[in-house]
Amino acid sequence: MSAALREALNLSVFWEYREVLLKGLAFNFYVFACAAAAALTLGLGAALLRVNRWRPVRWAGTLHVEIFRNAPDYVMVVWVHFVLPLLLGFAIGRRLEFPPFLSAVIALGLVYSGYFAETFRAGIQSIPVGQIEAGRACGMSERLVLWRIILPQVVRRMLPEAVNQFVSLFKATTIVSLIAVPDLMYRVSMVTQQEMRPLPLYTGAALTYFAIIFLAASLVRAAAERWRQKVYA
Amino acid sequence: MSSIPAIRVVDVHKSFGPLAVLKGVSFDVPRGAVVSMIGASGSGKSTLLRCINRLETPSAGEIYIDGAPMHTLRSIAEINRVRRDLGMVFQQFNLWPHMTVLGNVLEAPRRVRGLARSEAAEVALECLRRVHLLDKADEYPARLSGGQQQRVAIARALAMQPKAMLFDEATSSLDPELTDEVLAVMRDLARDGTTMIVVTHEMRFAREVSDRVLFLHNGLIEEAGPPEEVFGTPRSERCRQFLSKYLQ
Amino acid sequence: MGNWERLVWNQRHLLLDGLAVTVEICLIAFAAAIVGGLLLCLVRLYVRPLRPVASALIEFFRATPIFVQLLWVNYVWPELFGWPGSFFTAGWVALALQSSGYLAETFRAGIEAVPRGQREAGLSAGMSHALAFRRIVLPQVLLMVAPSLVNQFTVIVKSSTLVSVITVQDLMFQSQKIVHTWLDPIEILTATAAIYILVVFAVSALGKALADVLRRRYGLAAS
Repeated sequence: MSAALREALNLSVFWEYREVLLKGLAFNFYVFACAAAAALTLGLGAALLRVNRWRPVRWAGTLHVEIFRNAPDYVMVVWVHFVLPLLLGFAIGRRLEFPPFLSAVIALGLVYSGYFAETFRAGIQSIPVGQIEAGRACGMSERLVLWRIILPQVVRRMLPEAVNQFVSLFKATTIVSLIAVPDLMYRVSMVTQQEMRPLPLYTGAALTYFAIIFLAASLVRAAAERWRQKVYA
Repeated sequence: MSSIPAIRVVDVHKSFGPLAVLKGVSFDVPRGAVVSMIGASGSGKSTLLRCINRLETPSAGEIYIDGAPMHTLRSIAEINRVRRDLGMVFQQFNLWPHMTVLGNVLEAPRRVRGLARSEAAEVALECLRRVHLLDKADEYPARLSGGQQQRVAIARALAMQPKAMLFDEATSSLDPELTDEVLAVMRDLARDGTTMIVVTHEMRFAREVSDRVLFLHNGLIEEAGPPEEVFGTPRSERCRQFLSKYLQ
Repeated sequence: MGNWERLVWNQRHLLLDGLAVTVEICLIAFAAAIVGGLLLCLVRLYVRPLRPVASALIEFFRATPIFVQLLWVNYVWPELFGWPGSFFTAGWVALALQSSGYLAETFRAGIEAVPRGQREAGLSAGMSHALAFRRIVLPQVLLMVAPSLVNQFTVIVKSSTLVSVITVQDLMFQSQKIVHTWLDPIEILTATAAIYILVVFAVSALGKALADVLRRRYGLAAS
C-alpha cells in the first residue's frame, strides 16, 4: 500500500500538465458563472410566480420548482443535451444539436433555479407584512415595493443559504465532463488515458477541488456575514 | 378655504367572509380637524382606518378623499395616486430596516413623487427636524428606541406632504415612558393644522387634542361629538362603561 | 412518438431492474452515511485528540464534488487499500462519504439543540454520561434530525445517477443502454427523468409530512 500511497501523492504528473488542467478548471468556472446567472434569474421569476395572487400562476411556479428541484443533475444534463434539441428540432422543422457547453448551462441553470426559487420564496415570505403595507400606504407601486423593500432584504437574509447553493452548483459542474465539456475532470481522464497514471491525477483533482471550494466558500461566507452585520447591527 | 371635507366616509360596511366588522359607518373629517376614534378591540377602528387608504377594500359604502372617490377605484395605479395624499403611521412602526433613518424618510418622495435625491433629502431633513430626530438621520432603525422609531415613521408619512394623516394606534406598542415623546409630536402636528384621524387608547390625548371624538362599538359609531360631550356627558351607555374602564 | 410502448413499456423489466439497483445502492449508502456521520460527529465533539482529524474529514467530504469522490474511490482506493472490490461497492462508499460529511454537521446541530438542562437532569438522577446520552440526548436528536435525514436521502438518490458512469447497472445505466440499443432517446430519457423526479418528490413529501408530525406531536422544530 505504501508504494501506491507514494504514487498517489506523487503529484508531479499533475503539476506537469497543470496548464492543460487549469484551462479545464476555467471551464468549470465558465459553466458555473453562466448557470448561476440563469438559475438566479429563473429562480427569482419562479419565486415571484409562487407568491402571486392568482392561483394558476402560483401553480405554474410550483410546477417549475418541483420538477427541477427534484430532478437529478446528471439526468437533466443528459436530457437537455440529447432530448431537448430533438424536441425543438421537431417544433421548428430542422435538425438541431446543442453544443455541450450550452446544454450544461441550460440543464444546471434549470435545476438550480428550482433551489434558488425556494430560497427566494422563503425570503420573500419572511418579510413582515407591515413593511409592505407601509410602502403601499406611501403610494408605492407593487414593483417599487418589490425592488426597494422586499428584495434588498431578501438578499441579505438569504445570503448564507444562497452561498450554499452556489457551492453546490460549482460542485455540480464537474459532471459536464460527461457530455464532453472540456472541464478539469474531462482533461484529467484524457491525461489518464495518455499517461496511464490514474492515482496522482485523480488524487490531484480531488485535492484541487477541495482547496478551491473550501477556501472560496470560507471567504465568501465570512464576507457575507460581515456585510449582513452592517445592517442588522 | 374649500368647504369640501378632507375625508368623507358614507355608510361603509366591511366583512371578512362571514364576519361583519363594519356595519354602516359615516362621518366627515373637515380640513385641519383632528378626529379621534376610540373603542374596544375588535370594534372596527383599525379596519375603518385601513379602508380609508384602501389597505382594506370596503364591502359597501363610499369614501371620498378631498372630494375624489376612493371606493370606486379599481387599478392599483389609481389607488396609489390617492395614497400619496394620505400618510399612515402604524402601530408596529414598520420602518424598513435595511435603510437609514434618512433613507426611510426620503424613499417615498424620491421614488413615488419623483423628486431628485437632493430635493427629497431636503424635504426629509425638514420632516426629521419636525419630529426632533435630525441628529439620527444616518442611523439604522435597529439602533433607535421604540419612541424614536415611531417618530421616524411619522416623519416618513409627513414627507409625502399628505392632505391627511392616519394614526393606527400609534402608541399602543410603546413602553409608557416612550409614549409621551410621540404624543408630543402628534400634538405639534395638530397645532399646525394637520388633518388627522387618530385611532387611540390614549384618552387624555383624545380629550385634549381632538376636535371630534367617535366611539365605535361592534362596527357602528355609537357616540360622536366634541370631546367635552363624549367624555363628559356621553349619551350611550356602552360608551360610558368603556370610558369608566379607561379613565380614573 | 407512438414509440412509448416499444421503447419504454416493453423495456420495463430492464428499467425495473435498474430501479431496484438504484434503490439498493441508495439504501446501503444511506445506512452507511448515518453511521459514518454519527461517528464523525461524536468523535469531533467528544474525542478531543482526534477532533482535527474528524473536522478535516468532514470538510473534505463536503467540499469535494460527488463525481470526483466517486472516481477517486473507484480508481484510487483499490490501489491504496485493496478495496473496494466491486463497482457497486465503490458506488455506495462514495455516496456514503459525501453524505456523512453533511450528516455529521446535521447531527452536531441536533445535539447542540438539545437543552443542556435535560442532560443535567439525567446526570443528577445518577446516570453516567454515556447512559444520559443514549437515553436522553440521542432519541431527541434522532427525532429532530429525521426530516434532514430524509432530505439527505433525496440527495443520495439524485447523486446515485452518477454510479452509472462506473458501470453500476442502476436505472440511469439501463436507460442509457436502451438508448444506445434503439438509438431513440426521447421517450426513454424522458421516462427516466420522470421516474427520478417522481421518486425524489415522493420522498421529499414524506419528509415534509414527517416534519409536520414531529412538530405537532413532540413540539420539535427541525434544524
